[in-house]
Amino acid sequence: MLILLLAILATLIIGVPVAFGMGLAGASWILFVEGMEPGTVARRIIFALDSFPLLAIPLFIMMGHLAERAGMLPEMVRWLQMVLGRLRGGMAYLNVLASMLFAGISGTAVSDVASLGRVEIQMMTRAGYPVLFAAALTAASSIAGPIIPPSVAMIIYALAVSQVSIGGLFMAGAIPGLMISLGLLAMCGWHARRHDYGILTDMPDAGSLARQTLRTLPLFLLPVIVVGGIVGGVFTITESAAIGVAYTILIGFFLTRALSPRDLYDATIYSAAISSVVGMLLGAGALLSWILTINRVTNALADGLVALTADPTLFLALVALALLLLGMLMDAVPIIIALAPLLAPIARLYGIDDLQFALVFILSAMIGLVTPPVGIVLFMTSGIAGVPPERLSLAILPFVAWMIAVVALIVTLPMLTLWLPRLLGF
Amino acid sequence: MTESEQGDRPRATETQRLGLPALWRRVDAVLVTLVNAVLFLIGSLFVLMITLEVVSRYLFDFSIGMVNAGARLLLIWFFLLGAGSALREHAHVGFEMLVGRLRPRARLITLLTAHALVAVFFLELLWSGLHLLGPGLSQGWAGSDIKLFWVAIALPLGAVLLIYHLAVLSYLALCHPQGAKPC
Repeated sequence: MLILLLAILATLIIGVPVAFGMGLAGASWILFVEGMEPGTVARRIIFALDSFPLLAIPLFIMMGHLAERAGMLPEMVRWLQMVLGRLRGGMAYLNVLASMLFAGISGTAVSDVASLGRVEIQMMTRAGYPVLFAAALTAASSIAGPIIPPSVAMIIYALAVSQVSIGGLFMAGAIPGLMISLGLLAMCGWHARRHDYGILTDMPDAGSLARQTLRTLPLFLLPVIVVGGIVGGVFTITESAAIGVAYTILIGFFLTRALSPRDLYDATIYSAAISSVVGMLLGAGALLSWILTINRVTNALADGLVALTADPTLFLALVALALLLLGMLMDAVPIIIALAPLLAPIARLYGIDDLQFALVFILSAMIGLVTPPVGIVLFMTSGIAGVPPERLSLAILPFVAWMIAVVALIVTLPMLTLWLPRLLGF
Repeated sequence: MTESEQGDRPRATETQRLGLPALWRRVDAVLVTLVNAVLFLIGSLFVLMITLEVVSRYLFDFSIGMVNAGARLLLIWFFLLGAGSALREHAHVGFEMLVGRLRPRARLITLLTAHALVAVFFLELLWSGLHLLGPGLSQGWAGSDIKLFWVAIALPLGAVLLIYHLAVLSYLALCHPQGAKPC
């Protein structure tokens, strides 16, 4: 089994994509070491992809892309600018709040930075904020995306680990996501006052504010329809994502009139390319998980960990620490697919609730997105803002420290993740 | 995931095409357009099917039975055909830092070694997928009246597309090594 893991590591080091490295090792092991019937590999991959909830991933990616093309996001930013522009730190608050609201649409940190990053950084620098602060805040606030529902990372987690409710996960993420965002808002306020950042704008007249609010309303309704539909039991996750896509198309064609048939085509092709990355990872991950299960590696690992410590909190803290370190080297999605099915059953043996473990896992892995040396969001933001990644790495540290503090809080206080899902019956 | 997520729509494929010989360029354009058209059709179909199912359930109190299985079938096709497009766009997540720091010659050798290993995996997918086609003709697919064959055939087809796109990337790496990137 060590050979299998070393083979994966070797392929990753020479630049083989994670899905193909895991797939090569897994398929070769099944075909040539275990000597199983060749169709087994195909069956395991098809079985992993054969899931109705998994449809939500391409649909959410499509929805985020269409919302941007439909001109819904610039309207939201304009509205936030009107409301917050007269406050000291207003543009910084706008950055955090726009990411929180957009999180309800796209559900990924990378989409948040790709869609809103440039606008947010430009608005902040035009309002007199240093570009480094603007870039660091943009990268940090995007991490709220995968925690605030709906979250693509949570859907992937729930599919990788069986017996976890996606709706429950969404609700479990609400309070930690809010804590991260509120902490970032407080830090923005403190920075803006201390360094006298930003140029204040006048309060808009009631008429313009009302008109802009009306223009922004369709966007605010989108997360209400999507998340409200799931939590209220009106739709399944996949249905809510499809309704979200249909709603965005209707708004884009008939209200903002910014969408064209070409945008629908582009959104579908974009969604196919991005979501198939997740599909390949899930397929390859399923091969590995199956090999590890039939060879009882999960059991051996569980025995080893239980021998190391019997304390559930210490186990959670160790997992969080390991994921924070791993997150610095690998993207969050492959970490979730490769390790969550292995560690979640062990967490159950410790008596840790599935939802609490999932949130600790996802948030710890997500923080890696903004941590050097390979934090993908960190590098994207550095490219958009035109600042060196090493300077951005330092500027983002206070925000990362707060996010790590939130991880520590959800490790020690289970109610932060469990109270809301229990209240809503998940 | 960087490349595609930063832009509005996949663009690397069009740029790469310029580095191919004339005939191959034309074949590539036709193939990519065809696959994209199929992906668009699949994506539109599953959005339409699921939306109609919700509307039908709430407005007419009638559930369309085939939506769940049909949408799952389309999703498998969407993922497996889309994987090739993602490969061309360098969208598959990988660890590129070490390769990026190598000298040009060592980098090219490492890159081609990685391509060769990836090709082995794609061939395994093709082999395994073809093996499932025979039994798939007589076996049903879980929870539906659809034969497993219609699901299973997406795998060898996806694998062939992946092999094709990998061949394009390997050709470009050999002929234009300065711009080559890990897949």
